[in-house]
Amino acid sequence: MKAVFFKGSPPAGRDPLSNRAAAAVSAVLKSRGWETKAFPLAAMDIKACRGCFTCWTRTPGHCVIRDDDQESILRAWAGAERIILLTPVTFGGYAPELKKALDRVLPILLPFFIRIQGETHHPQRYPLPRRLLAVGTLKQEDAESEGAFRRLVGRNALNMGDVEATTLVFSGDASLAEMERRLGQEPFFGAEAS
Amino acid sequence: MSSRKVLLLVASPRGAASTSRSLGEHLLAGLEERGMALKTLQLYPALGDERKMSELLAAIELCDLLVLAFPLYVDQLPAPLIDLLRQVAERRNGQARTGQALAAIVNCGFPETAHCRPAADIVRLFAVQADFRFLGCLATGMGGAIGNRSLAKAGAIVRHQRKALDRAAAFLCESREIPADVVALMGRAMMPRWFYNFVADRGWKKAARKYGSSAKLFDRPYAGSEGA
Ligand SMILES: Cc1cc2nc3c(=O)[nH]c(=O)nc-3n(C[C@H](O)[C@H](O)[C@H](O)COP(=O)(O)O)c2cc1C
Repeated sequence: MKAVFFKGSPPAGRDPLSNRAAAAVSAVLKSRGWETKAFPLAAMDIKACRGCFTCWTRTPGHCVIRDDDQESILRAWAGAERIILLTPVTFGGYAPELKKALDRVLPILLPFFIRIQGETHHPQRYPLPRRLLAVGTLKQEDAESEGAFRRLVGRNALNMGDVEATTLVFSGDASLAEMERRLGQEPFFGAEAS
Repeated sequence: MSSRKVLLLVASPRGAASTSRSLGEHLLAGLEERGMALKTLQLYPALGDERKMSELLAAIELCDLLVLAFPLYVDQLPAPLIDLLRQVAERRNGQARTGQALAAIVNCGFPETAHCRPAADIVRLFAVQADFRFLGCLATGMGGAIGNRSLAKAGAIVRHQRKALDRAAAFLCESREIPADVVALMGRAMMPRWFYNFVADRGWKKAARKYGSSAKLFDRPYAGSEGA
């Protein structure tokens, strides 16, 4: 199984809960033996999307910004069957560390329109049967932020081609072992490699 | 006459040519008529520019009403705007209420306004966490139909949006919440969905012809490459 892991934790030390969640995801991925490309986004040079749509018109599939680290993400996404997003829940959404990379994945879509669940969306440039896992962390339990986060992941799943999505939110002082246990139970990860 | 200050923050990389700016400026005109003092700032030119960024953060602290105007990116706010809001919330952490108010205008490229719902959630939750009174989020789909035109120049297609922004101005200048019927009016379709989609599809093909890339529109440059 090929997976892409977007590690959207803030720079080291700023958010131990989010770093712990990232370590738990990595451990479960390792136990499954998946071929994973993990991207430590806070440490990566990813510039802001320019909103120019060059990736759909002038150079289809290629972003106009070539002098940063985003291309490795596009390469990995093209062949991935599992997408994992990890982020501190930020105002009910994603932190900028994760979002800066997601804003730049427009090249993996086609410009045209299709209908999904009665709404307009874009077709995938690299169609594959994908699944999405979103892991959020919240320093304190907060039902409103968690609800908004879950709805947002649901919308992202539609935009990725109505993929099956799982959302997990860890809050408070959830331990590494507890996170690993909960993640390991998710059908998203399937059975442990023998 | 009120001398309350409104700051319009345009958070689109398309800056002066953005739909966000056209919508924001229309609202501002209504607020100016009602005696508010106006200021407009662009977020993107301040990225990586410490002086501009600190001016922007200072302006946010000084305004009575902050209006965020932004495009929907991947179902929510563009990354640089989330980054800015996180900075604002962190700087205010633990400070007493400021009495400032916040409203937002979001537009998206798909024809359905419903795509913008998570963005409305996010600005509301930001307002709560950063001690702004949240006065509402005006959202519209079909943003591509406005392009870089002012709403006056965009003609009859944006009549609902013009009216909604005019009516919203009357509430915002009194620091009152934008009523639900005004939010609904803002979200009304500018044209039939099939027509918007037809014109947009044709637009992509036309642009590709201009660049000589028509045969490449469906290219998969990373198929079969590393990780694929
Ligand atoms: C990186 C990127 C992501 C986008 N994501 C969405 C989206 O999730 N849903 C949508 O309806 N439109 C999306 N759009 C389209 C923009 O919201 C639309 O083009 C908008 O009108 C741009 O407004 P502006 O001129 O104010 O920047 C996206 C555009 C870009 C460049």
